[in-house]
Amino acid sequence: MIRFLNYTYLVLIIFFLVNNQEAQAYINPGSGSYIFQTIAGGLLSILYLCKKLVLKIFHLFVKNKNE
Amino acid sequence: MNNTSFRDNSGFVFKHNGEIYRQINTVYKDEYDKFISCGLYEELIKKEMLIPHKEVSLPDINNEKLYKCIKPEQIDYISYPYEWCFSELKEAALLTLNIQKTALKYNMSLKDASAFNIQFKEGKPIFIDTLSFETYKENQPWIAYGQFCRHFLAPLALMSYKDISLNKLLITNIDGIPIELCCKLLPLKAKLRPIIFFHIVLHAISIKKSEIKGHKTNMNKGGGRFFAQNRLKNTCLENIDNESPCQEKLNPKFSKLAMTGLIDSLEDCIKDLKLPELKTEWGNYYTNTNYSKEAFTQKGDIITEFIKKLRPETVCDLGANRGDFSRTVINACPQTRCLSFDIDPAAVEENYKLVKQNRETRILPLTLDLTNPTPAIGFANKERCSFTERFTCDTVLALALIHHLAISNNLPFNNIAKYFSTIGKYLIIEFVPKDDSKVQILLSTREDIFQNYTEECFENEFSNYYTIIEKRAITGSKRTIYLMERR
Repeated sequence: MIRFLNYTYLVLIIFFLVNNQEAQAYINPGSGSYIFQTIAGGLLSILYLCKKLVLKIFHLFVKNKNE
Repeated sequence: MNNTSFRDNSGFVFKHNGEIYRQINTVYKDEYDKFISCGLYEELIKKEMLIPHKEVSLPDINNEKLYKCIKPEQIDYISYPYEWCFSELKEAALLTLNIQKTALKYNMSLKDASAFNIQFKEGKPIFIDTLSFETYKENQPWIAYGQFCRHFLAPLALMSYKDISLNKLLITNIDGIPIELCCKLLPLKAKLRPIIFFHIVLHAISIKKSEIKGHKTNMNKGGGRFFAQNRLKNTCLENIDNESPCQEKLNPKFSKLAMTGLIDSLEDCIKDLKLPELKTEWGNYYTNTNYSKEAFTQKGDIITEFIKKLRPETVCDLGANRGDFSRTVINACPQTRCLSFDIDPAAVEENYKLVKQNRETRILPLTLDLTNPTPAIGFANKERCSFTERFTCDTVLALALIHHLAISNNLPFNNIAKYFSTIGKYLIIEFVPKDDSKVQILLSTREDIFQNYTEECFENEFSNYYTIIEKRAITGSKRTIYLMERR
């Protein structure tokens, strides 16, 4: 599970590094966090769904084993 | 108006007849009504996550901005994140995320994620800012994400990977430790963890890139779709406050699922942060003490007797270590609440763990350096109050402390007595004479310039501010415990 999460974060990091170009305009302080979320939003969703799926499968196996 | 809430447009906190109230401005009317009616308030109260309040009408309060007045349940003592130990800050962070998750269920969201919005009540963190909720805006990122990282994630990561006392950086950074600073301070080991790399390192890069200003953008140079997208967002973000039509073009497409993913990821990150094995200066203090078992028990009995006599509502235990005598105090008197201070954050951490383990509701462990108490900070030095302004109590407990203040820190008895007398009416203090083995250790590496460090001088100097009511020698040691009353 941890290996899977680490792998997904790695994909996210590579995605960010490849795509994020320098933004050369004046913006309000704090906007960096805002923009950062918009870039990472899609992958955060995928990560969350994958985590839920993996946990569901894991619980299914544990349940079957207990039964 | 209270000096802590002037930045908030939605309302403000004020004191009336010594009690805390909050005005809700008409500008926040719709959000407040939705917050109460949608069931979110009820759920948060039920789960003891939010401070309950009552709507009141005060005839004296009348101004054109007034929508409603609320009276929140009163909190005895206000403490700040730079006074908390690691576990206290971690619990406060998890509570904030939990509240955001609950709010999302009701289509609402937190607009602030300030650590100052959390206080400790009956041994647990509780959210105190009723006006922090707003309607969840579809496709908008979490506006408080940056603040959450600065107020919680950055200090916790630094405490976990660098030094347990680094939450003190919040004193010099009232709106949280800048992510870029945290990134510079974190060791490589921490940065290599994917989740930290994501929320701190990449986040810091994004902030840095966003703050580059004054250049004309050139779409032809190294453009790419994200460059163009960012440029549009940046231009739009400039105008958000002005409600420019440009805001409509922003279209950040941050779905609710992404928001849930973000909160879940932050929760994993915070839960994952742990302290390395604690090496507290005072951890073995009681096992390495020069007291015999009988003398130690007798000391506890004397404290119990004094506390039973005084029956104080509040006690400040200064130099409490892991809070052993704070526990003696609360066990002696069922209504007494004890603030348990120590300079060593590792000892405070141990103390808080005991509070959780024993489910104690009347002890609040906090870090405090008595030789340099928490200062007042913020705008006009009035946004966050100093230790002295916030903590006054019925009884001060200062056990095995005087030699650290007088000998290690060269503080004259007179100054110590004067300061203690401003904190509480009664004082229970232990005098540790020069020939005590602990004092001898302190003197072993320095010249003894303390000719006035005698019991007689101690009594004389303290008598300037206190009347000595009782004095008890601890059998089997050279120490004496005094009960004094402020003049």
